[in-house]
Amino acid sequence: MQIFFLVFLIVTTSIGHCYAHNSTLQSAKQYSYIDRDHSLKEDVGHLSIVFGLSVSIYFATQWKTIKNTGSTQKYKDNFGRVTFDKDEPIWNFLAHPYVGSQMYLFYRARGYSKHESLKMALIQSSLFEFLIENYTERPSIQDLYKTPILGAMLGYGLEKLSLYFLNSDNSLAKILGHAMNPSTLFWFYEGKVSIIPQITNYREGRVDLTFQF
Amino acid sequence: MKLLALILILITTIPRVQAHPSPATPKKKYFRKLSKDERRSTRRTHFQRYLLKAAPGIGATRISAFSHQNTGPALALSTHAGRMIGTVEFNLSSFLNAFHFTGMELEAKDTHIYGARGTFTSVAVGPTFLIPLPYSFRNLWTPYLLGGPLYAMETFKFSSANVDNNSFNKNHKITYTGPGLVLGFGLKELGKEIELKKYIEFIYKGIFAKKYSIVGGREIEVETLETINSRKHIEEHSFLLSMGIYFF
Repeated sequence: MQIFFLVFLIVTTSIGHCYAHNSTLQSAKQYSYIDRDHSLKEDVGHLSIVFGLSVSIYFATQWKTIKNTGSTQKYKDNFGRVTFDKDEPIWNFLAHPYVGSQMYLFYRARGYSKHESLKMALIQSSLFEFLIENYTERPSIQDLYKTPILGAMLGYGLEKLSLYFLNSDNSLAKILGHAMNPSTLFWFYEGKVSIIPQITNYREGRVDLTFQF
Repeated sequence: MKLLALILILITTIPRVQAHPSPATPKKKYFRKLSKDERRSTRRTHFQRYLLKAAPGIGATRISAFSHQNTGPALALSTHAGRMIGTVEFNLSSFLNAFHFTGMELEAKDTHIYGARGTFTSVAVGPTFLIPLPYSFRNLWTPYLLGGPLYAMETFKFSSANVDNNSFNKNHKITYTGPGLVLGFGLKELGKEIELKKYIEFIYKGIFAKKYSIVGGREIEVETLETINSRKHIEEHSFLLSMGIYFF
């Protein structure tokens, strides 16, 4: 009886051990957001990059308006004065919040927390309205408020939905996830995590996490 | 014999059940005052925390213009971003509501507009504060009061209108700007984490606008044609019920 019990024990532990060695799973790339602290130098750097990009896009798309309605006198007159713009709702409730959401997602991709991303987007849109768009029109209250605030709300939703799609096995969903949240495609995205699950023996498991910076 | 055994079992069981009654459950209070410790703990948890929240809502809007009044059901969206210091929230808020008007009467420069139909949208922005009251409702919700000044823009977009002369184009919009205020009360969920916490609020929004602009163009390019001071205030009184969440 004792010999039978001993043989049974050896057989079961060996099977467990073999199973453990064969069950090392393949590593998987996971998309996530990792919040970290940033130095002032980093903040200024990020603001400069996005500011430069916004100015380039503004000049490329609004050149005609800048040429026809902009002037240095207008810049002086408009400086520091805000007004309600009379734009169509499609701009104030769709276009500007979308731009704001992408700004928010850029900062999230660079490791800023949710409220820090909102703060940076708020500074960003204020800089643009007061220093650049001022040349052609007065800074708009709706743009100053809705670009970062509605943008952060939209960005919050896009972040959750895109992560759900990006972490799925469906390639079409992955494409959709990247389209919603383009910041995840670029080198500056800090949230890509490699998860390597390993089962070392019958009763113990291990997960290796690798962060790419 | 069996009957005797049954009686014996019953007799011995009943006193035992009575001797160990189920622990007395405290009487559930639907509305109670928060204790000092609870208040201190909430203040400590939420001290200096940023927040962002939004709530869609429904309600009724009344516009009083000259001798005419127009009331209708309205759709609304309120958004708040700010900081919580202790339990008090200091927010930068925006209130948007829209409704369909019929038979509206307005003036635009020297033109009298009457029998107008179309959509009215009101966008108001301003600093608001929210003060939670030290009570709890069903141990889950806490009531609060909110208020603050607003600065608003109201837009009348016409689908049809009658004018007494041809100097006003019906395709133009009229926008009014002016100050106002918001007052309200509500209930928000209690808890340490505020992310995705729900809240429900009832607000009154009053706007008193006088300065108006005639705006041309309906597509991408819009142009302010003229800005004039009206003879009388255009008053907007909205009562809105909103339900929303804290994003963070």
